[in-house]
Amino acid sequence: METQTIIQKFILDELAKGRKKTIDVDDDLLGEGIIDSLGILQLVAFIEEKFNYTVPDEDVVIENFMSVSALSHYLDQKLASKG
Amino acid sequence: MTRKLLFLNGIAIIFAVYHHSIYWAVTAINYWGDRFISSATPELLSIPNAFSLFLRITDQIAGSAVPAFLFVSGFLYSFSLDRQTIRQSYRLIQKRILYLLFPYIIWSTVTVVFRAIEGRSYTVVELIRVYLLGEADAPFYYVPLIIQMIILSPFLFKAVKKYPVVILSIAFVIQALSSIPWYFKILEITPLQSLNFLSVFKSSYLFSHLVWFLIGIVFFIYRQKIIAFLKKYLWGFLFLIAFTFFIGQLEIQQLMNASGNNWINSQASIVTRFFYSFLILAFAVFWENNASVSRIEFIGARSYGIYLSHILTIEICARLMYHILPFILGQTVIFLGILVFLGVGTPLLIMYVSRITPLKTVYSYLWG
Repeated sequence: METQTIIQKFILDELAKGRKKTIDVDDDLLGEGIIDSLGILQLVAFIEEKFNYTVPDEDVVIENFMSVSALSHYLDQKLASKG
Repeated sequence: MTRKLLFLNGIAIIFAVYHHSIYWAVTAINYWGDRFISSATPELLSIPNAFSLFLRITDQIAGSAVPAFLFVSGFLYSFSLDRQTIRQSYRLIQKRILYLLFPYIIWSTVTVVFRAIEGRSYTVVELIRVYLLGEADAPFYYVPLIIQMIILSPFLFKAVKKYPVVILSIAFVIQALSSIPWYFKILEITPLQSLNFLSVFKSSYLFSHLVWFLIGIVFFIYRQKIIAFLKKYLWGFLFLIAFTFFIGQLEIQQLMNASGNNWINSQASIVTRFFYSFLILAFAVFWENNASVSRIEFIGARSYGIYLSHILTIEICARLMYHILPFILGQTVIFLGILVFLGVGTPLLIMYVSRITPLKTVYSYLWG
């Protein structure tokens, strides 16, 4: 499964429960209330577990967590450079 | 760093459940003694011994739960509000408040209905206070408090970014002032007329708790500098933590001796409040997550739902034990262990059921 699908599924199954039935990859996750600030922490924990990649503090910025596409783009770049 | 805040939230909710369970342990010792034979007596609580010290020390540490929640919230709201205009910030905040309010209203109502079944009646004014001030049960104050802080957060964030030292200093002074009426009350002192202005701080949770939310914001903005500073002065910082901890314990003993109370909740003490600030900062800077944290993180992610629903859970468990297993009431440590386990476990179980039944469509309105 590609990064985008994995992240989208996690958000839909775990974080957006009862908030939204479907999410678009470009939906504003925080702005539309799909996830809350605690959800960001859960996303960071999920990424670290699932992709075995530790998100550096300086990368935990709203731009990288704005939407599913922004997050998967960030993650694809980091995973590619990690090799 | 970021991920350990989820762990901190998990530890904090376990601490909160423990802190509220101690109320029932002390109630059992003070008032339910006829139901069991044990060495746990009211006299034993008031003099320093292994048992009373265990309860007091663990209660003092567990009292850091709400400060820790506020620290995490301050940090996370800063993340959300960073580089946003005030208008954009309030757009983000609206949704968040909604998902805080719905579960709060539901669980406040559940609590009010439970109390009504027990025989309590409410006046209209009392009901307004229940929903407006969080008076369904003592710990509910947290929700109106955090909502006030969230509403203020866009302005607080900008102010802290510009004047971190000034804003934090003012918040610490206000917090210290808000503790003073607590000392008057415990020692039954009528304050001088010139100190009447302190009554402004008396019942404001915002004044007494704002500092921890601000520390979260400051830590988000200046974390590299703070971490470097605290690592440089590690021993001095550890000494401060130990010092405020021990002085806090001595202070509680002195207050108990002077007032004749056999149990005092140490959360409002000035010294203990400083201890909480240092303890949380120490955690944020020095704690290293290891492989075994995921269960605590799981609990941390569900902390709001547990917080709202554990009060009734532990009360029902304590009352059931009074009727069915009274001998456990005198085994304080076991009694506390059961209350904490059920106080965390039962809400988690109900949340799980909510997720796999048609209730899943309103999951966020029930649990946040």
